[in-house]
Amino acid sequence: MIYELAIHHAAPGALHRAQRLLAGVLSRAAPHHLGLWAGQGGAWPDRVLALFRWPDFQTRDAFQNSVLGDAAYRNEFGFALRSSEHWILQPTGDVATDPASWRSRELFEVRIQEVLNGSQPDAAEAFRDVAAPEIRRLGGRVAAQFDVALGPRRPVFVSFLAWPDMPALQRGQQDMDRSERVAAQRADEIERFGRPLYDRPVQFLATSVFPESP
Amino acid sequence: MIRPYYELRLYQMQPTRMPRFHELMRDHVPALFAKNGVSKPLGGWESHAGPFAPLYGYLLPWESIDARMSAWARFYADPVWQEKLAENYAGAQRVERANVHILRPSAVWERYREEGPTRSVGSVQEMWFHARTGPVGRSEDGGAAARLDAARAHGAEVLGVFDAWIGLPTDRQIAFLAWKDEDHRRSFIECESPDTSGSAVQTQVLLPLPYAKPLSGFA
Repeated sequence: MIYELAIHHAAPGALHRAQRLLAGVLSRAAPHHLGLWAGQGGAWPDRVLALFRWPDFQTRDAFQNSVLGDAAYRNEFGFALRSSEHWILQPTGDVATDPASWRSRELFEVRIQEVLNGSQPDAAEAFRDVAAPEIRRLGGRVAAQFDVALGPRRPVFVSFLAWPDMPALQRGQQDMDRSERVAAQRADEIERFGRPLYDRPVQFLATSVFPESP
Repeated sequence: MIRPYYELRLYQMQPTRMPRFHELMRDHVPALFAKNGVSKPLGGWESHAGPFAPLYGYLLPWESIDARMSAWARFYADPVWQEKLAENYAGAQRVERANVHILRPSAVWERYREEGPTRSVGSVQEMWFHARTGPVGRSEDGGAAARLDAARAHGAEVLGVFDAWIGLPTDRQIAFLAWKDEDHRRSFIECESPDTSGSAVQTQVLLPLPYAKPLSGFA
């Protein structure tokens, strides 16, 4: 399976218009389309993110070509969007397979983090064994973590976390910042690698544009 | 021959770790690429002038992205590659960041293509990243074309023009040029008219690798 993250940069003041445009287009990508999220804050409040799972690139490119060949889309793109960017992802572990996992009413926290080159297996292991259990203990949910296979500034990991709401996210990350397990892991990384494995994240806070019924 | 897809690999190198990386790429990688089905590079460069410096970069042609994914998976799993890499790196990384982009040939490229036998090109080379304003996919409009025309008028040769497909914003056009010498490049820079198309450009000045020199039209 091929996972694709599309990052759409909305034109100034056009986030809702961009959502409408992309929701219309992406409904044509079923069943390969997993989720669509609109920015709520963080580093990219003016972005709309889409996640796909494709059987192969032929199918992916056929869809992409059909979108770009759509005159109405191209015309509206000029008003709603500044640019689009597509990355190909590889899961570092389990990926939530239930579509409701990606279209829930939770608040999604997407963390895009550069990783120390050559240490991707160690970074994935640290996430799986330390960060992910702590996130779950603190009320969050890990939908997936991916390694960017095609894209800029690799190695880069993209983590999809879901929290019940903003207060839960704030409390959860506040407690993560005070977690002894997380602090010990970080100290171990500095001792072994001379620096932490993960750089500061680009943090994207978003809600699903296609929420499932509660 | 223009291919459906191209892969542009731009490695931002760890400072001081470039020299022995060439030994790996020149002496061992070509045979491993051939063995595992990775395309032969159409050009390779080192650069110390531009946003990616210090840069090691190369361009590969592909018939399909699925074929590309399979070939790289075989390559990375090859025990000979793993042995040569470990031997060359000697416990320390050489590459800090790897930018891996899939490109498609731009419609604009056609206007710069020449018939006739392939030949060597000038050794002062350049890579341009153009960011357009306006709708995606309008490769024939704006973007690099006006600036490329001006560069040609100053003696530049256009090696190839591409549209970003995966890994870069899709409003980007990427162009490669070869100049006869640095004087011609400078004369273009000093005479260039202000760009009124609304596009922004970043440039990386390239040093072609002796073992991966691009030919005219990326033949």
